[in-house]
Amino acid sequence: MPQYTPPLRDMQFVLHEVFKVSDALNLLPRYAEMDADTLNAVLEAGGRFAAQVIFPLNRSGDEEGCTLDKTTHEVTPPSGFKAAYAQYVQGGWPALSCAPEYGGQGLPFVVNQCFYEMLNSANQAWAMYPGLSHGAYQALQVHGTEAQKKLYLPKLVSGRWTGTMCLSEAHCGTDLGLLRTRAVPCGDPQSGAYRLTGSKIFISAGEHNMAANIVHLVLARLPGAPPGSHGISLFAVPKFNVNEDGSLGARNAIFCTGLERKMGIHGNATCQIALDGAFGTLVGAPHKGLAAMFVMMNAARLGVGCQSLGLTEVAFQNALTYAKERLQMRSLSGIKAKDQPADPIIFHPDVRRMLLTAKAYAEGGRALALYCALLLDQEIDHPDETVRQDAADLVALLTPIVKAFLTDNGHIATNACLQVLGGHGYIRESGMEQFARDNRINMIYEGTNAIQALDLLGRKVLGSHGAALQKFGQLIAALVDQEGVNEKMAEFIDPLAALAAQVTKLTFELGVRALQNPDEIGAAAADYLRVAGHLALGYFWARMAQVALREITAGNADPFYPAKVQTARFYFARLFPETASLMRTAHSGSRPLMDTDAALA
Amino acid sequence: MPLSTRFQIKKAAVLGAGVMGAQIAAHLVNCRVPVLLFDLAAKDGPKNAIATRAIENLKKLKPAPLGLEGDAALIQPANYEEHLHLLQECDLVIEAIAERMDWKTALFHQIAPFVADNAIVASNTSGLSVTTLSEALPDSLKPRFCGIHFFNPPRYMALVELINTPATGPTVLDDLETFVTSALGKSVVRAHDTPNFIANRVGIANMLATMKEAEAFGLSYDVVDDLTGKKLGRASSGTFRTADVVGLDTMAHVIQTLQDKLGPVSVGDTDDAGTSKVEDPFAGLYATPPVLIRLLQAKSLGQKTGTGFYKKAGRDILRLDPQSMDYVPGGAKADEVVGRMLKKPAPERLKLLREAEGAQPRFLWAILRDQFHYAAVHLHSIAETARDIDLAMRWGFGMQQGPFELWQEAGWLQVAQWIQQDIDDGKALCKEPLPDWVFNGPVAQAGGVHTPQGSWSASRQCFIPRRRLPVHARQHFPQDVLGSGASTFETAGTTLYEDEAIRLWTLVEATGANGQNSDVLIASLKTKMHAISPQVAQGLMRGVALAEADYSALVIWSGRELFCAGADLQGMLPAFMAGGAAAIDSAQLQLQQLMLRLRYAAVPVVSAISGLALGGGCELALYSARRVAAMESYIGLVEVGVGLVPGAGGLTAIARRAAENAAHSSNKALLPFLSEGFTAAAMASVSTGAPDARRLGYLLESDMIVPHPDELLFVALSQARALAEAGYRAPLKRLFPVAGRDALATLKGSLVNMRDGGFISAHDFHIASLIASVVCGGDVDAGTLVNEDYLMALERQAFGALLAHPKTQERIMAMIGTGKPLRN
Repeated sequence: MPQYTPPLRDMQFVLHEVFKVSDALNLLPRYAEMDADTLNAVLEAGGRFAAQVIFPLNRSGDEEGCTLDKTTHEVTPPSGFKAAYAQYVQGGWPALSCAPEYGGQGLPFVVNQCFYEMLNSANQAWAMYPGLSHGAYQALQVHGTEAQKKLYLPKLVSGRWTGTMCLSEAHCGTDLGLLRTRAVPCGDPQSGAYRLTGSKIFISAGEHNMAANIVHLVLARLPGAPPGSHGISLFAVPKFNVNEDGSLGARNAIFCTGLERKMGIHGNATCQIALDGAFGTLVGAPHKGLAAMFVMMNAARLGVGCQSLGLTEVAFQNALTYAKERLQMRSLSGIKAKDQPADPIIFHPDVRRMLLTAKAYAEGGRALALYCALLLDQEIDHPDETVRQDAADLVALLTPIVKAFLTDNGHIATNACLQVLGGHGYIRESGMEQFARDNRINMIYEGTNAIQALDLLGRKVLGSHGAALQKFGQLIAALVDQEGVNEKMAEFIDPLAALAAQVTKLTFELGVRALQNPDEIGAAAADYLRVAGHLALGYFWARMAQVALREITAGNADPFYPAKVQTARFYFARLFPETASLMRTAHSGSRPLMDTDAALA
Repeated sequence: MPLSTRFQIKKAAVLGAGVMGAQIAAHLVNCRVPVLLFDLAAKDGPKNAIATRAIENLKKLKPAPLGLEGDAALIQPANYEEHLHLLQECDLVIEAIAERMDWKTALFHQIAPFVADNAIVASNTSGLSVTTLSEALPDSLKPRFCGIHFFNPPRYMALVELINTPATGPTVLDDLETFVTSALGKSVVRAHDTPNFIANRVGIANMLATMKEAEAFGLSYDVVDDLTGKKLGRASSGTFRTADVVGLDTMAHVIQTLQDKLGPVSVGDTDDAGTSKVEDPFAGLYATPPVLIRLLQAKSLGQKTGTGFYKKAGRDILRLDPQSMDYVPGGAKADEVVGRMLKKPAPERLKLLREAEGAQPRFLWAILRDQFHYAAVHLHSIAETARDIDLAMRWGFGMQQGPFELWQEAGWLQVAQWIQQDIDDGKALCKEPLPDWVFNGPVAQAGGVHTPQGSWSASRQCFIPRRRLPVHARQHFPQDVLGSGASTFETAGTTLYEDEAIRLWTLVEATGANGQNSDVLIASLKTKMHAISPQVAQGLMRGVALAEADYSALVIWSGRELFCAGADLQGMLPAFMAGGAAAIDSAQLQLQQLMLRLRYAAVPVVSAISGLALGGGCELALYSARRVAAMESYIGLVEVGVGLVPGAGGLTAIARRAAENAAHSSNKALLPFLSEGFTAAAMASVSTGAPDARRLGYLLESDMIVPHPDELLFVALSQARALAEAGYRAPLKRLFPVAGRDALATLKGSLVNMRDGGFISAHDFHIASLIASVVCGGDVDAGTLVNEDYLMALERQAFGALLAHPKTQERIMAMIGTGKPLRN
């Protein structure tokens, strides 16, 4: 059976030693009093909840799956999920980084990020039930009317109700402009009340019995709406209608009509949803639904990256344990375990390569994700307008990277860890194949990774004429300036500085090519995103190595620091160099892809 | 500005047609000084054969000693047997024969009766004592005799060392310095008559120390060269490749001189001239390095024999492995961390190098320490002041900073303590301590050897100000050492407008009204490579308006290094990406309007050019009322290299000039007047110097060529003022004829041949056809009258079409990516 230990030491390293989050947060009036001990205490408790309450439900939830009662349209999640959720609500976890005015604890996003990583390591399928509530909370907080906020937010914050995002329909996922669900005004035109009719698919946590009510955020078209994505509006559609005093009314006409049978996340209810004149209220302005939904979407994209980060970590932990225990063959360089019939497989270079790949992607990804979370805190609460804007620009740039790069890395890492276990990784008992299966959806939903790549290269980078990229480049330049003459840092700084210069040129080249043929963006985008991902990860690995080397130089004997330096060295020697090949394929342009009509006839 | 004396050099003679003599003669011709080149009479055939052959050989030398190959014919060959009487016409005789005391004295005795009464006789010796030479001279020559030490190649190396003897007349060096500075464009350092004078003494000692330390630190030649080249602010060829280029035999000869004159002394030792040897504490350094001896034995003399410290094998450069004496793959670079250390401010830089763990940075500290140590110990004997050593190393060895400047910038006493510590620890080249003046007295108090009061003279124990001759008044911003407090052009004078891209300002000079601000406005570009960004264009527009309102002329001058490398293509691309072709069209239009504004301004606009004037920079020059160009000006319309056509009026100017030239000719056909300008633009030709720019049509006969780049501003201001005072009026806008479709067909025909012959690519052909089309005025009858606006519209059209062309985009990306043109 797999094991999970919350990586609190590494989280504390990133939070306190690399990013010095207490200092950074203290600059935000809301968190002026925040200190490291408070953050650590929350994380310790959160880690206990993840490891002790929901991790034990991961394997069983996967085996058991969800069941739908076709007559009542009720969905029953796997055994134990509901009780765990109750414990979650009772512990006050849903409110972690929600605003105090709605009953939230008002803790910064960096804390929530760490907590969610641990929930995802422990049980991604379970974590998605409360996970979607947070997006619904944010969308309503930003775009909802006062009445909507009053009605829904306290319930979502406390976790008594959960939320969903109802976007996809059978014929449209990536291209939401095609959607057909209709909303017709009803009653008093000023009331903002509508009746919605249509059907949705792939609605995660779309129906369950873990909470008293579910607030669906549904995209639909108003009568006479312009075609395409400019004619879509957002609605709040509760499972049970809500009376003005907040009490539950009649069952609304929004039902789960089917559950998808799927590759992974079996414990989460992936629902087909039918709306049959369901009552809903407009969120935000008419026809501006996509913009309103994007608040949720951006948070969700960072969240998906976090899911894979969690899986990468837990897969690594289990593969490492196995590699130390599993005795097979002798080490290539001679016997290592004299009193054993064979050596542990960890003495094989390639086994170490696989383990370190997962470790480097987990720890590097953690730094990147936490940096984004800190930026989100600054974007919202920093008193200085320019800092807020810079943070917003960087989050916009990094969001597609976190989503696509971390989920692709999760794919690489969970498969590498499965490989470490050999045949035992392929069978269910070890739990490794579940990590690989569960991760697979992360590369697809909330915008496929190809969409992320187009978003990064087309919109975020070229759309700003390189300005957004330049902002990240300035961070790298500052680090190079700071550590450039430190000989011990040269093995990390040299490749990072070189890649930064190459990315600038590549970006420019792609920009010029795109003028001539927009397919050039599509042809290069996936490679480009991975290169940009390494640029970001390289930066954070260099910063982590910087801190570790300083501690070592200062005489700190904690083995954590040499471990960090060794992993950084592995990362720059074995993972980072794939950028050379990626830039070469990006250079090759669209022709080898598009001039293939005969090949693909 | 009147020169100091009426001493004029109407004609010169160079004795000895070896590599140096012939090149010195070539440079005199470049500077329009008539010259006789003497050598021995040939035993067989024409008696001038030796000199004639040397002159012929000048055309093949690289880098080219002559500004124009055809000017070789202006050097008059001569021989000692037939032509000594011609020396009577010469005001300057430069002796540059082989370094043999006996040969030299024999020659001086031979020429003495023929030398004109007031002529100066100067020896270009690099190793012999000028005083010893002087002592062997006929008495009549002694007062007019001195040393004049050119550096190879003399056209390009800025330094000339002048050396007097106790017998040299009081004004000889002043007269010679005036001539060498203003007429030949060289920078003069006066040296004491000590072995190898200043630059070679310090420079060669530095190279020997570098070789020694490289071995001690176990660094290979390619890494050493990368470390001691551009990164260290020195000539890009570094140390060992410099030795290969100079010639290992020449190197060995100079080292031999050090050994003979300064090497280990035994009692009663005298050199071949009978002079007592001087004890040099660095005597041990002057031994010829063993690897150099082995290379010489193997007849590997460097570049001229193809093998030396390096060997070229096909496209690869191999380096010598001194252990095995085999050539192994080279091209290794310095660690990047060292490159970053070298970019830090001097105090931090030297501290980092000294305290580093790696061999490379510690090696660099060692060679800098050795250089500081050597320069400090020898200052009192080899130079009047520290300034002379620093400037000699800059001008003669291509260093950005002399040793004392760097030492002072890094923190005088701190560095001095570090050096002394290393001397005490036995790490330095010798035990000789730093001189007392380093730690005590005025230098220590001032924090260095260079102060606004002057530079330190170790022999006279005081600060001595810069020598000022009247000729120096022609340099508004002479090159000076760090710490001298000299004003720099970036901040001097009165600023009238300044932003990140441009400064509009005036000099405060005596010739202005009441000795106040000058009546000529100066525009200095501040962008990287002085590229013309939209902001620069706006600034120049503002400059013209300001000059028209309040001044009599406008000079465009941005310092001695470079005029303008072109329009800021990279800066324009974001606009293109956002706004497409229309955005570029309007940017082009803005540039063209700028050019027309310059040309039709109510005051004369003078471009003062040195270094690069490419693309848009060339166009700025073409649209000025007059151009003043330093000898080393590289001018051309190079847009073809990035797949474009000149788009800011360059082609329009070519067409207009063809029409003007044809109008003054009896032959009214335009094509012959068009073809040179067309070819220069279509081939992206860049002039090899100012004289060549005349040949390409980018400079006119009426434009001035200035030998010394530091006199450029002075001449430009005087030209601008002269134009204004002559009642300058801008040319009238008029219609002019274009060559039309027939000429276009002819030009295209020749392009077809070049394409089919494989001389140009299909895209070159495409671009050149567009250029032909613009300069011919498009598909119109021959003689059709057009105006500049019409042709400029054609330029924009061609430019826009090419910018959307994939091959052009490839060229632009290659230029941005690699810095080198791609010919696709």
